[in-house]
Amino acid sequence: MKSVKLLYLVFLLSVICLLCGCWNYREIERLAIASGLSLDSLEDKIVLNIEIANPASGQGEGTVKPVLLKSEGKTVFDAVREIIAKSGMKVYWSHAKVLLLGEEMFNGKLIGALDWAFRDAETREDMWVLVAKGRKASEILGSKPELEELVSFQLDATLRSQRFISRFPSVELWKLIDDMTSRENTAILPAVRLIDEKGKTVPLIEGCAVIKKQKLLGWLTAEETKALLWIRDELKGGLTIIEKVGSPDTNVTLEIFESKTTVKPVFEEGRLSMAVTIKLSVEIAEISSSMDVIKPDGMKLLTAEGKKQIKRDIEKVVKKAQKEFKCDILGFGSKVKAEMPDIWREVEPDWDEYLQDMEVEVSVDLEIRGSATTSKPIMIED
Amino acid sequence: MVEVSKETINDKQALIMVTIFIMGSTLIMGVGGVAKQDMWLAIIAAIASAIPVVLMYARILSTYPGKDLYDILQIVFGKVVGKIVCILYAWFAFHLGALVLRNYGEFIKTAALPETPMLVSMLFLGGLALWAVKAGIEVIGRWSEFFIFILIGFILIIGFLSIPLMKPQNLLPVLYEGVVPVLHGTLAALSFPFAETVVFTLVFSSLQTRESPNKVLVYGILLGGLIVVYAALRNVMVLGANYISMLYFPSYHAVSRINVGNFLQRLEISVVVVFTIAGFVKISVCLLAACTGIAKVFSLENHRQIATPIALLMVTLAYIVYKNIMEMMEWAFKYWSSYALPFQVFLPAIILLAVEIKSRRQKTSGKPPAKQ
Repeated sequence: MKSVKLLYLVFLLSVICLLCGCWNYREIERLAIASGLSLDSLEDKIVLNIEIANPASGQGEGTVKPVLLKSEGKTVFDAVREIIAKSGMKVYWSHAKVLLLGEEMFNGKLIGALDWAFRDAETREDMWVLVAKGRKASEILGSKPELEELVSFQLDATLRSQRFISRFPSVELWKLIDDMTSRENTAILPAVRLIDEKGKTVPLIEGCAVIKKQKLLGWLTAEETKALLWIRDELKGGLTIIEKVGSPDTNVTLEIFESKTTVKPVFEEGRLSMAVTIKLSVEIAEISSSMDVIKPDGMKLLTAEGKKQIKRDIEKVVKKAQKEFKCDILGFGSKVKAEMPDIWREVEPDWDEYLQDMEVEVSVDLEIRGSATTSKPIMIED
Repeated sequence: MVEVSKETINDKQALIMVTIFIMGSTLIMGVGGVAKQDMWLAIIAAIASAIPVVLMYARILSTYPGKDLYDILQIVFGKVVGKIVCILYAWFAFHLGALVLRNYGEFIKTAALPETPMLVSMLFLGGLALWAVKAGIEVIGRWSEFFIFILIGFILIIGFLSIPLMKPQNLLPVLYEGVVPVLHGTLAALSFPFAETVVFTLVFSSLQTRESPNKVLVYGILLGGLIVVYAALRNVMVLGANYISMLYFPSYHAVSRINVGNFLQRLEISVVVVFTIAGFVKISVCLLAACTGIAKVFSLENHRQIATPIALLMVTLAYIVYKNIMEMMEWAFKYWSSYALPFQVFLPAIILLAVEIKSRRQKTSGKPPAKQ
């Protein structure tokens, strides 16, 4: 019995030696934690820039400073591993928040840009994807944001607050890939550009890029983007300004609290049309004159004017999608497929052409549910 | 020496074992993918068609209470033919266990430990299953009874947290590509996982009453099936059928989408936990069935003697059975049903026929039907 016990003891002791650590562990200070990356295309190569969140300890509280690493490669992963050759650091990807794409990546290189980030086990598919407008993506990653130290953190914070502003979409990697594969190969991505402010160049997200089959078809302004988000039922909040209500100087700003869009395909007399109904619940957030739009008949006027203007905005972007981009960023195709599968089978092959002359009936249901904390406009008699 | 058949498990434990067995690798691999957004229909159809199949198993078992399929085969077909069929079934259980072990290894390798050799994770789970088998079916039953609460708890919490991500329109259009893909999906889902419960006929010699097999198998299928349908619905509603078709492990991705207030996020580890628990029960049951089979064929005193070599062989088979994950998926979704259905449906049908003839003949010749 004694020898058996001794044997156990030897075994346990040897196990301790084996279990004293992970065999491929990485110390935190040797870890280069990526917070974001940008991809540009240079001839047949891909230029990768990685923003590393570098914890800098020191005076009092520790801060995180950005470090930019740059490399090139034939493929994205090739460029990623190139970083090791340059810095000796193996980049850790699980905290990467943004993926910035340069405009040139849309010359048939989009799949090449997305596949690695989508496939790799360390990157997360809820990374935000943005398109750099007017500049190289690397320049945007190298800019200096106002509040945050890191560009990626700034962009991440902005995209997370998207529902309060709705002037750009927030698109995660999975959403982009899902849209590209299932929504008639179209997608929209937020556009980010650089603006000068107080001598600094600051990244600003505004509007969106329209993408079809790896190609960038064009841009939408902030207002158009909002209307598009309305149709796609992706608008969760934000503001809408109703101009010239009753008098030329009365602009009423409405804050959107609820928005629900239903798109219903209608098939009548051999023709397919779309009925878009938007149900809105808003509050009056700002009135720019002494015009009383809160009293019953003023409210009636505001509601009528609001419906008209929102409808106009939406119809404008529908026209633009139909005539200019000639593709289904509106998401009508998936609605037809879901609700009228038989008709979809017929129209699917030349859906983009079919879409161009389709009638779209927009109706807006605007409910004003309050006027914040005051019951009257500021009355100044002239 | 205590006799092996003295071990008994109560109906509740057996039912839970069947439930966890069905959840096993199904929750993580997904099932009925060919039916796309109709996969839930395919799974429901598979549950419906699995019930007569398991009633068949139950009937075989309850004709000879206290005996497992290995004993019954030898009674019904005689020593020689019976033993040949026994070896086939032992192989089936052994092979199934190895495949589940490989699923586990591939999953851990893909999701968590890409650089650690797959053999390491499989060896650990295999070792654990070996321990469970040596401890016996009673212990596996009690273990299942305890861990089902953790499983159900995880599944419920994840289910609630996924609700905001669900888009019911992902389920539309229903039957867009007709009934044929759904039928394919049904067949696939019947052979993996529902009719895999045939393995339980190899180990359930220890149920309490004559009616037990019936109750245990049918309710186990229903309960496990409910969870599988829920997982399929959740995955389709969260990810969309198109996206699922690109993934090896859809549940893992569906759960990774959960992000409550930027605080409750990266919950995909719960999928790993659920798979480890459920996979462990499935592998243990398969290993137990294989060991019992070998022991009965070679008239060994008890299955524990050979558990260690068989467990090690199972790990080895799991290691060499596929070259890579692509091969694993192709086998699991393309070829498995044609390989498994003979063991799951055709052979049991023949066995049941033989059992019925034998027991009728005994009745008419005046002897009491076989007991003990």
